[in-house]
Amino acid sequence: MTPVVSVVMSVYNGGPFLTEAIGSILSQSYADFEFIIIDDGSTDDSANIIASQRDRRLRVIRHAENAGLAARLNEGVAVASGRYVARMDADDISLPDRLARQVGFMQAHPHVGACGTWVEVAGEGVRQRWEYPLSHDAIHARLLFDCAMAHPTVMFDRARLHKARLSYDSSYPCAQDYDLWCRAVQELSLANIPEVLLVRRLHACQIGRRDANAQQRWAGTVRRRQLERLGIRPTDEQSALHEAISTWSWPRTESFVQASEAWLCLLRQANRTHAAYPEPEFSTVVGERWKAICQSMHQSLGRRFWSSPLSSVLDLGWTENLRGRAWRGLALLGL
Amino acid sequence: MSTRPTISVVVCTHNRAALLRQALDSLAGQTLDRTRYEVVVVNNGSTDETPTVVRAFQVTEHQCSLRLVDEPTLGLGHARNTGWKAARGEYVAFMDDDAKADSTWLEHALQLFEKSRPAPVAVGGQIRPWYVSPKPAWYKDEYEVRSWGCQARPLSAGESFSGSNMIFAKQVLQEFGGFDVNVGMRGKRISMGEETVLFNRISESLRDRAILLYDPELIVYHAVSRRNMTARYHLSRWFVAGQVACRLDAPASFRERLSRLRAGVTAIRSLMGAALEQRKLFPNHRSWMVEQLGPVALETGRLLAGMGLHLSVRRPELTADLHPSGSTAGQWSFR
Repeated sequence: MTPVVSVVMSVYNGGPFLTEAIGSILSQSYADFEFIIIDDGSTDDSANIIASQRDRRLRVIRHAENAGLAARLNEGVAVASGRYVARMDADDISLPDRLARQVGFMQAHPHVGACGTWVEVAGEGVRQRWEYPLSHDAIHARLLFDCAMAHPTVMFDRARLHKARLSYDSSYPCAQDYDLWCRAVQELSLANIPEVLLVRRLHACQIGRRDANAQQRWAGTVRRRQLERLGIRPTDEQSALHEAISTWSWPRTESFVQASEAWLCLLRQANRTHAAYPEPEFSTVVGERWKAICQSMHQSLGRRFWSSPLSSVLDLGWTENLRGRAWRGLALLGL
Repeated sequence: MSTRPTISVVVCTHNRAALLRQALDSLAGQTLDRTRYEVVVVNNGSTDETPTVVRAFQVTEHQCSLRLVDEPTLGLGHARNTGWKAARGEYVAFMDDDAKADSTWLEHALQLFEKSRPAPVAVGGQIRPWYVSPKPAWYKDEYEVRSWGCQARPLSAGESFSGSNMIFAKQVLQEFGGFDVNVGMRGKRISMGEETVLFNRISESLRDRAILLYDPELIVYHAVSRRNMTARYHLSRWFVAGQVACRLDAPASFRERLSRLRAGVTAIRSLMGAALEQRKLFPNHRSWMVEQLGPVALETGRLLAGMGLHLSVRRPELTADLHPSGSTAGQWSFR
């Protein structure tokens, strides 16, 4: 009997968190799965930890050399036999109902090719909820700025992925998921489940931390490609601006606000011409960045925010919309 | 004068002799060739030394074509109508008596009319503060800047130019009969909206051909004195804006009027609640009042006007502590 789900996890020196990560999959409320663990040439005690696990659903593949996440995930997907493939990372914790909820979602929405979930990020004194956009179009639009799906939470339909000839590009040492979803969004329907089903651990020896610069650089490569879809070949200055806006790390200066307003307007204009991203989701995503930039400069959203065409598409709830109406009313009278 | 000017600047004034001289100086110092423009000062029932100031200017700046026209009926709408009717130019620019124009204002406006295709019916730009009294620490440039962003573009529905920085093709003024004399500033009573009514009529009738071209390079500086930099003044302006908004969009039926009143009460309560919630974000209560109670004041003005109550608010006198040229905010900032 082939299982419904294949959970694929690549391990490279998973060390202290590995036991808990494996345990969180083996104790899932949904039991019909195989768990493919690929040891990507670990040099710590990962091999022993994996070997000490006793569960008939485990399939362990060991490699002496390190080939990188993208290559190992492709390998895992190739040997998987389940209808759905679920991703997992060696330092994360899947909440007990994760597989049950995702399988239920995929079965209820058969047109969906891949679905992710929200995550909670915990560790080193931080506890945050990261919410991701839900609909395909919202995910598509967000991909202009960043990866709109949490990689370890993703579950995809293996046959659909295969049919669309989609796999990880192993030339990407990081941001390979971002690259994949940017290609996948053209072929598959993507979605996120609005529920926290995985806990991401923040710790010092993570790839995200260890190699933050490389991560940034490779994600930047994908972002440039996303800009090209809008017919934009950014100058160095524009690239730097777009990176700052995409990574939420900008200087609190009026000149940045001005430059980013011009840039965001340009993006919207380009999308009007090229129709590369779905509307109104694209304008909403752009508007949300504009809101964040204005908020970081100022206590509350005032004239600067509301008098920009970027804010006109946003729905910020009853009270804020009223406030927007008041500010626009004032501006309309030339005040 | 033998040659006809291409562009006429209409400056309507009511008892502002002290500031008028500077307004006229800024117009005499334009980069545009002096034979291509004229200045028409409309004296709207001034009882101070306004005529003397204008006559003195005519003597010292005799190369600049300047005419003084009287309009005894109080009201900015009346004065502006008299002004454009007296104008000989193909285009008519409007600037207030408490403002001064950037030196390239007219040259740039003319270029926009001559080079932009399809031809705009009106062009306009930004208003920036010109502090004639020292600016208190809590006061932000943002309270005075009127801008539709840092990019040149045609305005969309719901946006309009400030009355102190707008340039029309005279033909359009003729076609639409100029400004509404029933709304707007009258003598010392604060009001606004006469140009908004005109813009609305233009865009309703010409639809796609009603191009109002905004260009941030068109800059007019507006005098801000000690008396304008109070929370009380700002709130009264918000309040009056609400009254005008109600008049511009008058409810048709009794039923509609009733439902608007009900919506107005809810709006005021919810805006007030939100304002109180955000009080602690503001280090200074005055900036909190301007930014957070402003929308409340606007909705209150709208509500009272909807009930038939029109309270009039007097404009504050520009005080005598003007230092000669003041300081202008070139790059305006949030703080």
